[in-house]
Amino acid sequence: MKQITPLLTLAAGVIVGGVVYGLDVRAYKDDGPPEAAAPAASSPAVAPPPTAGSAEPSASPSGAPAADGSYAGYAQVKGQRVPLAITIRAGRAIAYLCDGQSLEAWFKGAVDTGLNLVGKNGAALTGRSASGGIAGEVTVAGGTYAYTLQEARKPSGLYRATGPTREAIGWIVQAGGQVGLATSPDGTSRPAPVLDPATLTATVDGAQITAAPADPEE
Amino acid sequence: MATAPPPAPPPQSAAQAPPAPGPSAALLLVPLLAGCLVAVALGVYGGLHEPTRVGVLLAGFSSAPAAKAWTATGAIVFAGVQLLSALAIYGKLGTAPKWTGAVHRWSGRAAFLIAIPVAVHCLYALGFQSGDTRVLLHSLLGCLFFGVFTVKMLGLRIDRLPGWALPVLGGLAFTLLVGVWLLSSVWFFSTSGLTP
Repeated sequence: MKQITPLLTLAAGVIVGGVVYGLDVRAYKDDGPPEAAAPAASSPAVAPPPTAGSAEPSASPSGAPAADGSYAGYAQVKGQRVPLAITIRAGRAIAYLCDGQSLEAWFKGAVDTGLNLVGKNGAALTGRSASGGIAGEVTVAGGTYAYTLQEARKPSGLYRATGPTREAIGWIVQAGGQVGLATSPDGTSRPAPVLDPATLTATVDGAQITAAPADPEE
Repeated sequence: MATAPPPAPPPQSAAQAPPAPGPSAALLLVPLLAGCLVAVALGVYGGLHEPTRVGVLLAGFSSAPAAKAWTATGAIVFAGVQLLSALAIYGKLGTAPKWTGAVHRWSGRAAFLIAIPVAVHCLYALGFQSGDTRVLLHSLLGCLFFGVFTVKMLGLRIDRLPGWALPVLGGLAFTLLVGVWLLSSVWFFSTSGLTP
C-alpha cells in the first residue's frame, strides 16, 4: 500500500513556501529597504493619476521645493533631540533618523512640491524648505514629531556602509557630533563604529570598511 | 533486525515482487538522496540569494524577529505533540487510543506548515549565514531539518523499511527542529525578553 498523504504534505509545504515567497517578492518590491527599492522606479505602469476633482493635493505641504543637497539637524522625539539627516538629489531623497542606541529609521521617496518619504513599519517623513533648510514632521515608532534641518556641508551629512557580516550601517555626521547604528540582517542593532569623516573609513571587528554618502538613487 | 538481504531492489519494483523479501535499509536510498537535494538546495539558495532584509510575516508583532520567534515556537508546540504521539504509537505510553495516528499526522503537518513561512523569511530576507557559531549552526540545522523531513515523508511510503527507520528519522527531524528553535527563538527570548 502506497500512502499518498506524505506526498500531499510535502506538496502543501511547497505550495505554502511558494505563496509566502511570492508575497515576499511583492513586499520587497513595494517596501524595499533603502539599498533595494530603487529599480522599481523604471516601470511607469503603477501610480494612477488622482481622480479629477475629488482629491486635492492637501497632504503635500505647499511652498518651494527643497533644493538638492544635504541637510542635517534634529527631530524632537519625546523631548529628546534625535539626529536626522536628508540627502536630496535629482528629485529623490533619502533620510535617516537615528539616536545611536536603538531608534533608527530610513526613509525614501520622491521630491516634488515637498518631501513625502516613507520608511518601513509605517514610518513617514514630510517636509518643505524653510529658511535655508528643511522643516517638517517625522512619524516613527507610533508618534509624529517636528524637526528642523540646516544645510550640511562636508564632512557633515548622511553616510552608509555595509559591514563584514552584512550589517547595514548608517551615520549622521554634523557639528554636534556623529551617531550611527549597525543593524545586522537579523534585526539586531549595535552602535556603529566611529566613522573618520576625512577618509570615510571605519573599523568593524578588526576589518576596515569604507562608507559612502547616502545616494537617493541607490 | 540487522539482517539485510543482499540485493536491494528499488522501491518501485519492490511492490510487484511476489515473494516479499525482508526489510531493507537500502530502500532509504532514494528518499535520502531526495532529502540531501532539498537540504543542499535550500542552503545554496540561501547562500547565493542576496538577502533583502524584507519579508512577509504575521502581523501584530513588534518586530520581524519577534514574529518569527513566536511562530517558530508554535511549530515547536506541535513538534512536542509529535514526540508524545509517536511514543504512544510505539506503545511507550501504554495503550494508545485509536486516534493517536491522526493526532500524529495532523500535528506533524501543522508543525511543518507553520515552520515554512519562518524558513522562507530566513532564506529570503537573511540568507544562509556563517557570521558566528550560533547563526552558522542555525543555518545548517534549518536546511537539514527540511531535508530530513523530506526523507521521513518519502520513507512513510515504503513498506519494507527496517523498524528503526521511521523512529530514527522522526526523532532526527524533531531534534533538528528543536535545535533550530533553541538557536533562534530561545536565543531571541533570552536577549530581548518575551517580546510579543
